[in-house]
Amino acid sequence: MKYGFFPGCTYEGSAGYKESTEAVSQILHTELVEIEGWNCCGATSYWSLEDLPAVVLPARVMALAEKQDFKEVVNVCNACYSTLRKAQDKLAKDERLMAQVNEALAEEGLSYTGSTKIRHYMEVLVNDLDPDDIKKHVKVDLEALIVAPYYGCQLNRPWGDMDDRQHPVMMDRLIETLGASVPTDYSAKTLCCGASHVMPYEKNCLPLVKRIVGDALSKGARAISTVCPLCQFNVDASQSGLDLPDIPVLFFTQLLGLAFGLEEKDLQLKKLLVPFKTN
Amino acid sequence: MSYSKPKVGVYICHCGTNIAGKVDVVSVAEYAGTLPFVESANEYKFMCSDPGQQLLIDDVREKGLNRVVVASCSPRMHEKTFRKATQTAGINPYFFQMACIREHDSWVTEDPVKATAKAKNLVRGAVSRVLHHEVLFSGVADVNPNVLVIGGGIAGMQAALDIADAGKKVYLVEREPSLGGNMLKFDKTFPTLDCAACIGTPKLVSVGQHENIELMSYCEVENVEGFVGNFEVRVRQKARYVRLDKCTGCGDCVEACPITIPSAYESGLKTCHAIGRNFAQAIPSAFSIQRMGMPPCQAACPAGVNAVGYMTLTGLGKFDEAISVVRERMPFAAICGRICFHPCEDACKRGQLDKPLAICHTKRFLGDLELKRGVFTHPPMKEPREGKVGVVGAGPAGLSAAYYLALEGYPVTIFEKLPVAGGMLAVGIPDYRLPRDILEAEIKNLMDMGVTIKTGVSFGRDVTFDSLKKEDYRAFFIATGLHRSLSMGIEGEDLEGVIGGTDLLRSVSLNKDASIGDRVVIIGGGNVAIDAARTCLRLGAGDVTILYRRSQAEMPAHDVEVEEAEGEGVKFTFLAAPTRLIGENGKLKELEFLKMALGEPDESGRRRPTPVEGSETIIEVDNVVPAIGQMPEAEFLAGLGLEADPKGRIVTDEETLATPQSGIFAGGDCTLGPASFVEAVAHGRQAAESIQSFLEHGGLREVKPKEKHLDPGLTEEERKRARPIQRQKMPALAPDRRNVNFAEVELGFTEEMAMAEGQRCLNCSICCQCGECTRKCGPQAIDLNDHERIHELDVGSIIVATGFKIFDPTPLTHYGFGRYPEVYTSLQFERLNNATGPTEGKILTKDGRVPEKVAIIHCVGSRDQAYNKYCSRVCCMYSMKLAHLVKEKAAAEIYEFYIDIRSPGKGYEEFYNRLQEEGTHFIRGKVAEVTDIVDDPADNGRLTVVAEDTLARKIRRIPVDMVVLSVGLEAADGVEDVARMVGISLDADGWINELHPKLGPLATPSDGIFIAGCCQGPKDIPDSVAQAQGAAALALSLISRGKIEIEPTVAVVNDRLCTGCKTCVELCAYSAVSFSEEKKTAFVNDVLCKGCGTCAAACPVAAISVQHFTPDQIFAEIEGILT
Repeated sequence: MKYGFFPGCTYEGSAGYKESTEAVSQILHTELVEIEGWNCCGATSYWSLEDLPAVVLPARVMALAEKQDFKEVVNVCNACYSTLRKAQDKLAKDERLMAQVNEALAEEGLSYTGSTKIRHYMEVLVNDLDPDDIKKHVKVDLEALIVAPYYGCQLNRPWGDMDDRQHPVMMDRLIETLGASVPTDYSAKTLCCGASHVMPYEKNCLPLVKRIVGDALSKGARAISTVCPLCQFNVDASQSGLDLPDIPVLFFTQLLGLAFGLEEKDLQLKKLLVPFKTN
Repeated sequence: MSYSKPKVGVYICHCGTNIAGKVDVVSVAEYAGTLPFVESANEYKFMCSDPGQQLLIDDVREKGLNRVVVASCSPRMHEKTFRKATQTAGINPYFFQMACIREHDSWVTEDPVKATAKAKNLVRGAVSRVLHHEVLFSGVADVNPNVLVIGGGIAGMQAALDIADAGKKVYLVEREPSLGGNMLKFDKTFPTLDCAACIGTPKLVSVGQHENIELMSYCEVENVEGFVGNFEVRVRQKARYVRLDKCTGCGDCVEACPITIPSAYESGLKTCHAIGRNFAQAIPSAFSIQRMGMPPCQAACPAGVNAVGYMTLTGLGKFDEAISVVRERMPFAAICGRICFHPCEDACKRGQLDKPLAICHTKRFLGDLELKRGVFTHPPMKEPREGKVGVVGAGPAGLSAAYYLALEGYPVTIFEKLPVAGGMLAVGIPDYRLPRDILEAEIKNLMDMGVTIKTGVSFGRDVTFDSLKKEDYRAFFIATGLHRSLSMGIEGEDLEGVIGGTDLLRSVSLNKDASIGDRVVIIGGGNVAIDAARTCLRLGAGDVTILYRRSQAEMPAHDVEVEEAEGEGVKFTFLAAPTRLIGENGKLKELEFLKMALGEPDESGRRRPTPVEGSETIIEVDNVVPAIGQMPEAEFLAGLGLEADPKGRIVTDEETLATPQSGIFAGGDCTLGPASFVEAVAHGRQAAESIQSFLEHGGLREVKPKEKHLDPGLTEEERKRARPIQRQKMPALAPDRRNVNFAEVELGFTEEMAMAEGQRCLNCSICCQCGECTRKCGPQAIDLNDHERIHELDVGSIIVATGFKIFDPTPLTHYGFGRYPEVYTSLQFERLNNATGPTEGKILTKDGRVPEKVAIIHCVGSRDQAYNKYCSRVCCMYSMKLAHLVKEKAAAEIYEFYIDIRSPGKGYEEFYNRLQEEGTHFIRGKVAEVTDIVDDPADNGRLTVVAEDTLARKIRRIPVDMVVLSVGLEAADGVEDVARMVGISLDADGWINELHPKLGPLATPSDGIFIAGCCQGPKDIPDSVAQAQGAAALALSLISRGKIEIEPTVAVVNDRLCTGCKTCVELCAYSAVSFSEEKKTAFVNDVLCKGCGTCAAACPVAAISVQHFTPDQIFAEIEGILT
């Protein structure tokens, strides 16, 4: 299956997300074809500031996808996913704004109709593939590994149309399909990690990460799995200030790679700040 | 059309400024005056007022008017008023027509010019129509003074009491086993804090004791027909299984009941038993048993054995009681437990989870246990009585019939041709499946009961019907089975070495001898073929093959048997059928067969085998055993003088098993064809019942109501009850020890295994009718044979008081209900506070601690765009009440999270002040989430409530020990069915629609149907009681009028035009039209007819018309408006 792929700005720089995603998507035959000429989605900060330009940024990405004949745009970042969907919703309700956006896009010969479906790679694996399609590639026994699935706050809210807003289960099922275990009652699944406020308001954000990490540890997890580069970074990097035992924070694609028995060059686990020990 | 010249008076109403503010009423009146036949036309400010009506009346009298038109508001408002005025003036009220120029004109047209023009059109239409009106008279019907109240909560009880006190009879129908509704579940009620039980139980008692109230508890309304003043109601009374007049409420039965389920009354906080009572002060005070229906195992058993009953008792180690349950429907436990094909296990719901219960093996354990102890438990035998019964055939059907007849006290003699008793049990089923000694022991049990078995007696030769009748035998049961082997009909079948399957088995059983060579081929695929094959191995044959003409999938033999046969070394050749047998000197030498291919299905549904041309194969054999079917002995049948069908089966009535000859009954294989042991036993019991009816009542039988079967699908509650025990594996002889002798292959369960198996039961019927409670009940108040009953009531009015249910907060996953044990609904919390509840009124967490901090969250499911948009009205008050109770009992800190505080009633605002003074923390803000993540390790184990404190402008994270969700109210389950039955509707939120939100809150658009309490909308107890009293007043008002008018706007059939097509009969939604075959015309029941006009529109010859809405009248109005 071929999907339009929107990597987002943080994809390359994140701790092994790119390498693991590329390797895993090959094995699972989910071809992620990068959208040519994509731009930053504007994420959360721009969205709060400037109305029209904030909408044009994500609209341009979707317009490029339309032009390049992609019916679906797959994201690997919660903020990109959320921003694209929010823009799509906003433009669907506001004809005047859509006309303005298209006027701006027309400068480049682009046009936005809102026909693309916005996906996240994690839910693509859960919804579009049969569990057996994933299971058959599993080579490593991860039964002893308890992984806390951390979804982040933007994936299921406000829509809640793919999974429960408060206690989602999609990633839990994916982890179990790989043969690993999840804690039965991880409560911090959708808590905020602080997002971009972690830089200017570090002290205020520490309690947020403490809850995510603390609950994972108290429920018996030995690793945390994420679906967003900023979530991964925040929870990984903030642990030094937490006064709690360390817990490695992996991308879900790295977890898939571990289960499939991939090598370090595809996993890049060494890039994690809190190291992941395979024992 | 009347004969005098029409003189029309037209009145245009101003309706204050409602009409006159938009429509130029003066010009409309002037215009009206110019219309043909209009004698006078006026406009007036308020036509509905006294002077307005008087104007009309005076004009009619003085000017000799004979038609009146009023152009004003909607006919729904004042048509009745003006018709009455017209009548007062002295002319028929149906000579009146109303034109609506308010709702249809002034209120909906923006432009005054257009509005005036429209008014003129409408008036013209009305005038045009009224010229065609005819004299009509209303019918009158009596009002039945009885009242039906649906719902026994506080509103229903209050309404019933008021009507009963007025001397009228009330039927109070309540679907729970006792009265009280939701109110009696509460602890204290706001704002006075009197306890619900204290104020409620006197009402319960009054209702229970009132001579004018017939309390129908555990009943539901099933159907309502008729119309105001004359309703026919059908009420279904559920089976309580406990006699109201005998139960003393002692509670001994509860301790004896082995079934535990979550208690719905306690909102799941506690468990209860299948027999129980909602609370100690319940009215009626009798207990009741929850039985969901006949469980699938019992329903699947041809003999109706109560499997769930004996399995549950076995699970408790109560083996004696368990075997008693078995013996009610199965005289032969040890035999049945060895050979039955157990359809019960196939139906067992546990099989949808893991494996079904080992019902059959467990029955064997129970039977073997008794045999070991030398005991034989059976239902008590009645006193001996007259009526000798002769049974022909000592097989399972005959033995079973003898057992049941002996229990009833009849002297029974069984005549058996063979030298041994048992029928197929003795000569058809080999020892390794059913040991001889077990069979003999269970037959001896019967003889100990007084049954006489005479072996070696051939019926038809040694004894006949006539000879036995001379000996005073008065009834007979023929149960001779099918013992002859069906022949294959091929060449060589009479050669030596060819032995029929049943003949082989019989020989071996009787003589233990049969000359079998080394190479044996069995023809056939049923159980007899398998038994024959395995027997041949044990007789020493080295090469035993079963030849079957279809494939393995179509074999009728049970899978277990095929597996065992294979395990023992029997070979199988499929898709082969014998064509001829070749012999030498009269002895069999070879078998020739053809290969088969499967073609189209035949009448059994299996694919028909068709021969493959040219595939003849010849093999050498010593013996061929045809086992392709069984048939009766033809001469014997002929000798009986009984009718048989083409297959040789004796013809009997399906229910009674009676043959056309009086006093002669037949059952088992000889009527069914080759069937099974358990079906034969079932027939035996059926025959015994029929014979008893015949002997005592000449054949008349009581028709007993049948219990409804449970839905066969596994439910969530049943799944949750499953204990994690695997199905026990039956210990068996090692495979190499089996085919060398006739020792029993399966060895039987131990006590531990049987008990473990019994504990796997899901109790899908809830009550398993084990009889433990019956045995414990001193007053003998329990009747497990109870059944549903239907009652037909005649009432004149109905009050619906079905109450409410609480909103289920499970979908609000951010509040954690169902996820965290210490999150409660308000109703659960009421039960905690109630002295009759799970903690006897103490506020404790589930692990028994007194909470230090409690959070109460308002507006759960109310004022919520995603769930219920409305405010549930009582939650703020009850939340504060709960806060007060917590403070009093646990001295805990309370945090109430609210949006607004609504405290509008008498004493309510003062109550709010009191709560604030008590130190309750009121925090204005919606709660974002309830989570088990705490920030301070000292709070580990607590829940954190995260909310925005909008007044302090802070986010609060408050750790608490318990969270109470103040859930909103919704209409009770099933209200849509009740509404449909009585003909009223629900609004968008599910509450019942009242007639008018301000002026008619208790009446409905359906005359004679009133509503009271929360079914009309959420409200507190004072308002519910007020409404109940109001509804009672409305009902009493109807009764005191005594008569009601039936409008004449009904359909009428012109019988000269009716062609008898009956289209109208089928179309009528009110079943008001019928067809008379004698008069050859349709006719309308004018009390049922609602005048909808469907029949009139559909009649192809216009034979039906609706009075006051004839085509002439309607077309006249249309023309008037349009021209």
